[in-house]
Amino acid sequence: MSLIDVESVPRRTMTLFFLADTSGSMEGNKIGALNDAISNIIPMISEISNTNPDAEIKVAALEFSSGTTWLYDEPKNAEDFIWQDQKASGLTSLGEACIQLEKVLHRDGFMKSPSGSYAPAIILLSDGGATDDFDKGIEKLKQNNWFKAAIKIAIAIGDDADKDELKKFTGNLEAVIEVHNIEALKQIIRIVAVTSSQIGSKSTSATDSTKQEQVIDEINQQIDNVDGANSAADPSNASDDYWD
Amino acid sequence: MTACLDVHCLGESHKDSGKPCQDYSFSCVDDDMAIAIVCDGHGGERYFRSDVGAQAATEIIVEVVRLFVQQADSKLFKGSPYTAEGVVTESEKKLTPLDVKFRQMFSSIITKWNERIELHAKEHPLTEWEIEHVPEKYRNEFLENLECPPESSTLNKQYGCTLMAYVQTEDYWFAFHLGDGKCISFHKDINFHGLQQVWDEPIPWDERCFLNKTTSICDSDAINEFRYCYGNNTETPVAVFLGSDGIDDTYGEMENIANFYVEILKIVAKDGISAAEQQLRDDLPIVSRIGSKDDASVAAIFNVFAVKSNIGHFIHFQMDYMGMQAQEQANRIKMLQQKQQQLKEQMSNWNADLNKASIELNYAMKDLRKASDRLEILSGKISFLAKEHQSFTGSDMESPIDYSEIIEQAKETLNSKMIQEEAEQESETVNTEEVTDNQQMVSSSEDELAGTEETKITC
Repeated sequence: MSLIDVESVPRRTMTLFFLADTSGSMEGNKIGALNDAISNIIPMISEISNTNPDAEIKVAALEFSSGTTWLYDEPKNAEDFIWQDQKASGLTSLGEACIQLEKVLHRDGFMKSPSGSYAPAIILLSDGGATDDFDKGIEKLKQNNWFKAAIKIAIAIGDDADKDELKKFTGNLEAVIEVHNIEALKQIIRIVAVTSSQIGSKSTSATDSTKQEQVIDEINQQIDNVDGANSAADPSNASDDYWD
Repeated sequence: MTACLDVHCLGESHKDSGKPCQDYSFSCVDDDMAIAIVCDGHGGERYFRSDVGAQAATEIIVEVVRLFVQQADSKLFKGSPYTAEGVVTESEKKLTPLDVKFRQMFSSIITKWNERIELHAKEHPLTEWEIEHVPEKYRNEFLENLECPPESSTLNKQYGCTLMAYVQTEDYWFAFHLGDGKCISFHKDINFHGLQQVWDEPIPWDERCFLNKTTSICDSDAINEFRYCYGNNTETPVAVFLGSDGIDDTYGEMENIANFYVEILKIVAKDGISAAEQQLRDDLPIVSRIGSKDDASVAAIFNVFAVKSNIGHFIHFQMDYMGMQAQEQANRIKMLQQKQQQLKEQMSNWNADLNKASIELNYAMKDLRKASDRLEILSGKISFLAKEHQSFTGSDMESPIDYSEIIEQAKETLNSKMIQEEAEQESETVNTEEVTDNQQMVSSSEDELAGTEETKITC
């Protein structure tokens, strides 16, 4: 009689969330680059998930403009996830996006039992400021235990992105990455998504730093090689916006 | 006959880093009491002596609990129904005489543990491994603390661990817990404190223990982080299991953990205690490898006769659990089949978003396959458990629900989709072949021309 029943040992899970701003100001090259970059990194995330003995990665995506829409009604395995190209129009309901994210960060939402799960990684991409009640949304979200434990990185697309709001979302300015051109946007989406997936889906290495700190350190090491990208905590390195 | 077992093993992830097993488990049954303990040393770099801390906590709990049992007036428990206390501070609650006794015991555990680890620190300077592997700031903290007065020292951080214990005497039982890990108790086939449950978590949970965060004996307010429960001998559980978070993170849901413990109880009932403990010793490292990768510990106290007489009851729970999952999959299959129909109708609409609908349809088909495969596995497990129940108890159970029709229907849906896809591919291939034939014709004419040209050059 053996106690081993592989089938009853579920693989641990880490969910990677994309929160993508699809408001009207994203129209043109910005939304094109965002669609292109996320489509291209999904196979990389899938590779990380398939070769990772510690956990599988699931992907969920929420687009927000005048309202919010989840791409799918549950997180999908990284290898099955298909990014559907988004079109830009409307306002920036970032407050509502926070409320919607909070709703799924529960066991009866997108999350499973905390035992057997890793904290999620959440990537927020935005080029403006909220046109709804952001403070109400973020206050609710900040009470959520999964959100508190999550790796949170924001990508500020261009000079008009509201860095204060993004800082409130991530918890610190070091986790807000500014991008100022199309190529930088594509590269930073890749670096942030891949790094968050790699670190987020591993057993806690016995270091004292949090996974969020490890992700930020890793991103900041790579950011110097990307023209047109800088940490919002280091604006002296910021270059001019160029989106044509 | 009350019996016990305990096993702890090195986690898979510790093998590469060269770290020791930081879990410690213990169990024993003697004239005074039966006791099971699991302590889990923290894994962070700062807690580099947590393996020593976990072992020290275990030894001190045995010592302090024994004194408690010897001195406590068992009348305090008389007539006590099952009572559970979550995290409450002294000022928040009016303490009963029994609560006061428990708090004194917890206070004694913390004090003695701090004394023990302070002595250990003073008698054991940094080892070569620690000098090589522990970051300098934590080594310095350790060295500075050795010189500090005890009230300002944070020496206990290096030894930090969680703790959990279950104690049973002739007259009463109690359990206490500080930190993560899980305690599960199994009950006779009767109502237990008003609930008809096979198992439950007798000790209230502390919501601060979430993902990799846990409360700890090294916290400054550790006395207020203990949770506990107790009851008199009319409600003594059949079995109580304590498992470290290496077990939780492997099995995830509580039902799944309880299911694992029933597997151990079945070995106890069939082959005896030594066989169960040996099997656990053999399999726990594999459980860690395929599951959490963390150190894993299990300790248990159980009544062997009660286990044997209730084993059918426990297998019934397993069947119910599998049955519930099977029903979920059956419902999912029906939902996915409906979705598939809706999407097909949607796709026939001229103004539909074909791309989105086609993606959704592919997901529905993949999910249908997964649900159908899972239902098939679960049906097999339920049939196996029904036979096992028969062999343990000699009595047949009600026939389990037959899911074969639902599985067949799901397979038919999947096959019809495959046939449709093959037909589509075939028609595409015919078209491609026509194009290829044309291209070959063009290509061979080009070759001919090239050949002519080459010939010309060669000439």
